[in-house]
Amino acid sequence: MKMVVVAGTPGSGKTSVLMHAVKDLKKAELNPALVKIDCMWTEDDIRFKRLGVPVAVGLSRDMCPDHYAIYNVDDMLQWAEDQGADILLNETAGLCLRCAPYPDKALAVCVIDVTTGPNSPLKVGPLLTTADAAVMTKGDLVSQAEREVFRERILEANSRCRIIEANGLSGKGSAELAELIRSWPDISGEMVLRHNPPLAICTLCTGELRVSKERHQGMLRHLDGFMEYSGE
Amino acid sequence: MSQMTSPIASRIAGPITNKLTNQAANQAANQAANQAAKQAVAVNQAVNPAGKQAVSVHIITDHIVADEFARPLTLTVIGGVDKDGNADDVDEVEIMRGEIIGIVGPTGSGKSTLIADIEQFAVGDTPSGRKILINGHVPENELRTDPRKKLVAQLSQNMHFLADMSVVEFLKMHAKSRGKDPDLAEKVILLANTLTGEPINPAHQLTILSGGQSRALMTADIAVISDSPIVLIDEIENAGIKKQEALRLLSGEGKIVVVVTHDPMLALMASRRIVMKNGGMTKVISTSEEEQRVFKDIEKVDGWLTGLRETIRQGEVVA
Ligand SMILES: Nc1nc2c(ncn2[C@@H]2O[C@H](COP(=O)(O)OP(=O)(O)OP(=O)(O)O)[C@@H](O)[C@H]2O)c(=O)[nH]1
Ligand SMILES: Nc1ncnc2c1ncn2[C@@H]1O[C@H](COP(=O)(O)OP(=O)(O)OP(=O)(O)O)[C@@H](O)[C@H]1O
Ligand SMILES: [Mg+2]
Ligand SMILES: [Mg+2]
Repeated sequence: MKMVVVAGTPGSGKTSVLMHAVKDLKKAELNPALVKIDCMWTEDDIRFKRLGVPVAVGLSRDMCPDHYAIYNVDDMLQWAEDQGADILLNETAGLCLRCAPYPDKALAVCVIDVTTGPNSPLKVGPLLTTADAAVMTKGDLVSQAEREVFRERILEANSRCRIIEANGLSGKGSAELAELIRSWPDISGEMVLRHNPPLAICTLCTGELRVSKERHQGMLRHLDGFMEYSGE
Repeated sequence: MSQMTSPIASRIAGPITNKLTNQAANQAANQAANQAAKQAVAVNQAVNPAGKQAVSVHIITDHIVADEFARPLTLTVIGGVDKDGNADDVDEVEIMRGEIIGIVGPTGSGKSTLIADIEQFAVGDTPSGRKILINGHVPENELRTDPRKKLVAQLSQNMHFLADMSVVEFLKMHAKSRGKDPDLAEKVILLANTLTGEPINPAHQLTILSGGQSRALMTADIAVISDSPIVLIDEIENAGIKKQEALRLLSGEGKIVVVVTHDPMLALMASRRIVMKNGGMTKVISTSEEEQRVFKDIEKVDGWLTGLRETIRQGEVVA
């Protein structure tokens, strides 16, 4: 079984690019199965189902969507196997830019929208810096020069990643992504995350609603960067 | 081995200019250059033991990768399908260096799509199913993507900047991405300002440039920074900039220039033009001698219109 985690900010083009890549994978006689993880709501499963491949949705609701995705990796793999699939494609919710739900042996793909401007590769953090491939979308909306500057910025954030210039509408780049997936080794043994999640649990996680400062405990960071521990 | 290829062909292809000189001679030279290139490849293959043919092909592509002054000799478009899935009437177009080729057709007929196929060196992986070859071969992946090795510079129809940077910062970054000297940024701005009405201020944010200023900036950027051997231009005439001058800047010596246009003068400046309809390539027309004569007339009319336009733009009264 191969595993591919496709992450990227909401609306960056993850589903659009994956839809084209799935067609290419099927042409190569592979059997991908898709799991979309989101927080509250998604219609991506309806789009994916049109491709005639097994599709499942996981809504994390009150749990952090990335933690939810990681916690359920074994179940997703089992499900994919039950469907007779040989590739598990996992589209994440891609909300938090602090951590990245990439297990080390999965192919980690970060989808990134060119129209967010050339500073965005520096903002997305581990989602991009720990990815194996960065898929640039929506290049049709900007000039070639802007695409090239964007590319340079991606390399500044992650010099080792493979960059694929894709287009979610025309399908440009999907063959390249499909080929990368095809050539990626199967997962094996115990997997570990590529990046440390944020510091422990915070008071908001445990249900604190009051805003004022003295209500909050744990590792806390001030606006000026000063960090302290408050609590027992 | 690979060194043989380009000098032979360049000696023949070298004198071909972009101007509308002698069409017949141009085509003859094109054919000769084509032949020479093919012979060189044949020699390559003959010298190598049969089993090493693939290797010799590889050397040629390597050569393009390694030598930044090397120019590709031919760009071949292998036909695919139109919007209804019917095969292109034109099954192959071979474009030699030094040639300006036009793409014409009604709005929505697939001109920009054809340009996009060329830009990404399609390998049957786009909706049109077309394939693009360089020197008769599928180009290596890094030629498609790495801006430092990119063979294609493109002036697209969409020209909105979204980057939140100053003009000069952006150009420096672009020069860096192409492996060029960042100081070229100043030169780009100077050149762009010869094409626009209101000058571009290097310290201004990119996003406030007007449509015409953006096109002028990107035209100058292609002439100075991108400077690739294949140049793709989509409807430069609508930019409100000096179109003929822009085309001259973009089509440096020995480049392959592909121009999408609705403008009769630009269409006739090309030595051939591909006619698009319903997403397909329907025919290729060579600019006839009669058309070249018409071109001279259009040039005069265009000069007159440009003069009038400037007069009106400057708030003066047409005499
Ligand atoms: N112009 C353009 N639009 C694109 C491209 N790729 C995607 N889009 C559009 O961007 C929008 C969002 O695309 P999706 O594929 O749904 O994005 P997503 O990342 O899956 O979104 P979520 O799953 O909601 O996070 C859609 O309207 C797409 O049609 C592209 O390359 N160019
Ligand atoms: N060979 C093809 N197969 C499938 N779809 C195509 C093909 N060629 C063009 N199209 C589609 O047709 C539409 C119009 O094409 P395109 O934008 O290239 O036209 P155009 O000639 O550049 O028009 P304009 O003059 O308005 O710029 C696009 O949505 C494109 O995807
Ligand atoms: Mg989606
Ligand atoms: Mg167009």
